[in-house]
Amino acid sequence: MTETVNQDPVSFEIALKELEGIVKQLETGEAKLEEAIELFERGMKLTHYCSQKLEEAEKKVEMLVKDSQGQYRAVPFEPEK
Amino acid sequence: MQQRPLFGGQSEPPESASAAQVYTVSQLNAEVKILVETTYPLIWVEGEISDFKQPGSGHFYFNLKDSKSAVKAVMWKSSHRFMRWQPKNGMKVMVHGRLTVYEPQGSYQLDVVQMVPHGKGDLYAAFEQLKEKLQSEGLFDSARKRSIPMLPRKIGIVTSPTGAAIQDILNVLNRRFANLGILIFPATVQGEEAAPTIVEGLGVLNLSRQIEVIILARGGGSIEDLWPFNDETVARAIYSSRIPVISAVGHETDTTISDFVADLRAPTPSAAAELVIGTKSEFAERVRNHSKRIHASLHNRLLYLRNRVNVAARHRALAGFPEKLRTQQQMVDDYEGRLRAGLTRYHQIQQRKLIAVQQKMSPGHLKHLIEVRRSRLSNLFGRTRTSIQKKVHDVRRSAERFEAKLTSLSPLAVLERGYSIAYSEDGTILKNATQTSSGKAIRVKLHHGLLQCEVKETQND
Repeated sequence: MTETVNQDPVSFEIALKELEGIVKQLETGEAKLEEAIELFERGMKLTHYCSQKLEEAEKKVEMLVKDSQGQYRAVPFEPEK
Repeated sequence: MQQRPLFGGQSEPPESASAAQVYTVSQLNAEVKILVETTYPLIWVEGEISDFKQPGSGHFYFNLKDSKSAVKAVMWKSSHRFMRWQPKNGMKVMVHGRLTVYEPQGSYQLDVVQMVPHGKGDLYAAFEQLKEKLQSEGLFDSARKRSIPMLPRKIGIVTSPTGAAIQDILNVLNRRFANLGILIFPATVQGEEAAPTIVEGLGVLNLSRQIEVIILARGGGSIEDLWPFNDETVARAIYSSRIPVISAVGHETDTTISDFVADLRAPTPSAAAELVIGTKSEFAERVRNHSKRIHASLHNRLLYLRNRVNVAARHRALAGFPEKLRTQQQMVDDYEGRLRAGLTRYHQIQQRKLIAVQQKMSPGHLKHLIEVRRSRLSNLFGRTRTSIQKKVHDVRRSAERFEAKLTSLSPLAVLERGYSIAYSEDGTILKNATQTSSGKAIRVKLHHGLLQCEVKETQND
């Protein structure tokens, strides 16, 4: 447990899964008090990470087009009506 | 046909051409050719393929047979060039073609221009064949299907930039998760050039480090329209994609080879957008909910513990702490009292001795002696008092230290940190494994409740 407290989760999905596990552990009251406090801290960190992940992706719809050199380049996508 | 006798002499050959026509072989074959080819121009024949050959020329040579009979058939390369499936021995087929006579051999054969599997369409046969082939190669194995990430950093889409499909997908995605990165590869999704552009699109999007899922999409259409998604090269491109692929081709009832190979099949392009990501608000709600529950459970736990500690502090087992302190205090008081009493007694004895001596001595000398003794005595008295006071002071100090230690180890502080206290049967606190032995009963006081235990084994450090 101790080692993971400072580790960044690899993805939103894994963070959320871990968070769910922490909620379960804390709610069943199985963890010792010291562990519970560590879990709480880890849980807060994960909450922060997840919230950040939800906001961080920027809205951008792009389309690849070939330039004169035949290389693909991303340009903003303008939907044709 | 001329009548011939069954037995006896041979019939006489005609004397002249005018009496009866005599054909040359070439004439015969030429007439049969005309007769046959005009009688059976374009016909459908059904049968089973046997003795199928395809030499270097690429033409198909085979026999078409049923249970009693067989007929030769040929299908020129120019005729089968657009066929999407490969004939094999034993297949039941319907062929469309002309009956032709090969004059040099006097044989006839079917010149096939079209061949379809019996009872099924051409495309269906091609579909079934490719499906079978790829399946046997393991391209559809469920074990290799990858899961779609819950929150992809970026979504790649291979589709036509002008179709309804892209609009549907973008609308749904915008509704579900507005701040998403999307990269579209504009592919041709119909006709001969479609498959190569789809393959290229999958390849190009696979170069991106950010794209975590690809949607391969096309709106509804006829089976011919959707055909590129039954293309083998497309199937293999999906299979070799490093990034998981969602196939969303046509309507719900359409099934393509792409659907089988893809990591996930969506019934429609809109459905693909629904499957690829949850709604942002739902995600946010989940995170918020977890956070609330974590706070609440720890808060409740601390509340509960505080309550337990308060209860425990009034408990008999812990009442021993202040009791011991009181005992110590009493001992100190007692000791001090005894010292005082002893000192007084000594003083009185010395006084009495002095008076006795005084009575024996001459007034002048005695007076001197008395003075000497008195000063000595008072000196002695002072020193004794100092040492006793010091002793009393020391005992007080150690009692105070003990009290301070007890305060720092107050039940609340100790038990809140999750420690437990073990008592021997006679109530002394166990600090050392040697204080007890296996088989002995001990009580373990936890922050929640008390355990009556039996020692199984003792181990020294």
